[in-house]
Amino acid sequence: MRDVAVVAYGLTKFGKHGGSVVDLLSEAGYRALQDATSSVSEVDALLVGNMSSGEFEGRSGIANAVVSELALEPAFASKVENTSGSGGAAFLLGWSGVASGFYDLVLVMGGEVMTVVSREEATDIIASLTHPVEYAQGISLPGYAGLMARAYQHRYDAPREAMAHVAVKNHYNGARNPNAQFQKEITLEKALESPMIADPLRLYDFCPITDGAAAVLLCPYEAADSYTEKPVLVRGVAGATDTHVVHEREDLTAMRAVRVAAERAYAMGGLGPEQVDVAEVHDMATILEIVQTEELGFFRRGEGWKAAMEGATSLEGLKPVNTSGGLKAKGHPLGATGVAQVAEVTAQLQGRAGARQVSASKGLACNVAGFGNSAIITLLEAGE
Amino acid sequence: MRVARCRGCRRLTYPAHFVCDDCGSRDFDSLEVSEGTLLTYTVLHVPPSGVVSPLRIGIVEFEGGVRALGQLAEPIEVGAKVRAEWTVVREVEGRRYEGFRFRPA
Ligand SMILES: [Zn+2]
Repeated sequence: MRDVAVVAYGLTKFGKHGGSVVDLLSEAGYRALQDATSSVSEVDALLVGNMSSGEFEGRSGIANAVVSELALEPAFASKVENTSGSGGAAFLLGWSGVASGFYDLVLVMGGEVMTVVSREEATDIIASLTHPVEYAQGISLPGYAGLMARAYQHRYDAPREAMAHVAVKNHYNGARNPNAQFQKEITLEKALESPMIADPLRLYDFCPITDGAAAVLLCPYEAADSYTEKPVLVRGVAGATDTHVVHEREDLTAMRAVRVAAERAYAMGGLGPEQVDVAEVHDMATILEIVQTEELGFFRRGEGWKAAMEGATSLEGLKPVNTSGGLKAKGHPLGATGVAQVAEVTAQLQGRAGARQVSASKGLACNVAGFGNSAIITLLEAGE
Repeated sequence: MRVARCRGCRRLTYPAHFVCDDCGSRDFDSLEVSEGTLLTYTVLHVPPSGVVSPLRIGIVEFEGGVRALGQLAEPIEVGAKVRAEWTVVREVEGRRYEGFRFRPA
């Protein structure tokens, strides 16, 4: 296997765009190619993370469409679908193509247009990933988060405020990210008084419905200086899958797919969680950020809520998490998220994160598919 | 109400899987379960179409460790004993979905 580098990235602003995901992907891809220090007019492959272009906007064949928009013919292109983990899955496959020597230059993208349907319709499209016996009951992804939040509070005696602290922190970070959907700070009171959605979780515990796209350019590490002065090395990348039926999970307050994928990525990179300086995690709901910071090994099980309340995950904390604003404030265009997370960690390691910049030489991205049905973990390190 | 029991290793699951998670067997029979304990619940204030609003959903663990997600017929606290019934739980455009509904035991 060859070492692989992330050498460029591009994003659209996240928010309400409408139109087609093909346009947003083309914009993000174009920006990523422009971000390279030398002109890139061809790539070997283009992988597009996207969950539901068919359901949201009646479009298929979006990867080939983007190749055509960006005049990248005859590059091979394909959509990669792994629900909300589609972007991370596309990244993992793009990495394996370059690491194996099969490809030398791969554009990994992710995008989704969601605001063209109502919030209720969007929630139901996403709920189609659940097991039919659970879907039949009227469950949704926010519903699973409510079940986990109550189980977590019950087991660890965690106060409701701990979850609101995650929302306040991620809005603070989002206010420092010009690409975020919400660039507005909120108070603890506002989070705690927002409308109830999935008891005990309220509106401000959840990510919004978002349109957006992201792209990163991958090449062999030894060739990276052709494209950037600040290459970012992929130290590890791994995925794992858990049971489809959520009520069969071995622990209702844990995420086994995240834990296993992280263990694999740490082993591959020869790193431990204590060496991670900055992380993007999949805070579809605030409770998920708390649980993931435990499963990634940043904090012990049952103690993630204390870290959230004490500010350990803030920009000034020991372990800054979701400097981009996370899914909560940056927004969560399903297929875009895994790629946008890698782009944010890359920005931090290259020293390009502006008002939200932290001191970091190693970073981690945790992209979750479904409600922990699968997870993809990526470990990145600032190159020489 | 019935859950699946693997004839190979006696593991209980709900629903039945294509193959048993523990031993790989494809041979299942079923076992009646009725009483269990509520592990957690949520109340959906903006539920999808075809169910009551607000919608109470919980996860119950039965004897033998097998669990099921289902609707709560009324407010029930975590740790309480519940009784399961099998009924129509959702109806969307004439299509009926059946599943568990839980009441206090
Ligand atoms: Zn078995």
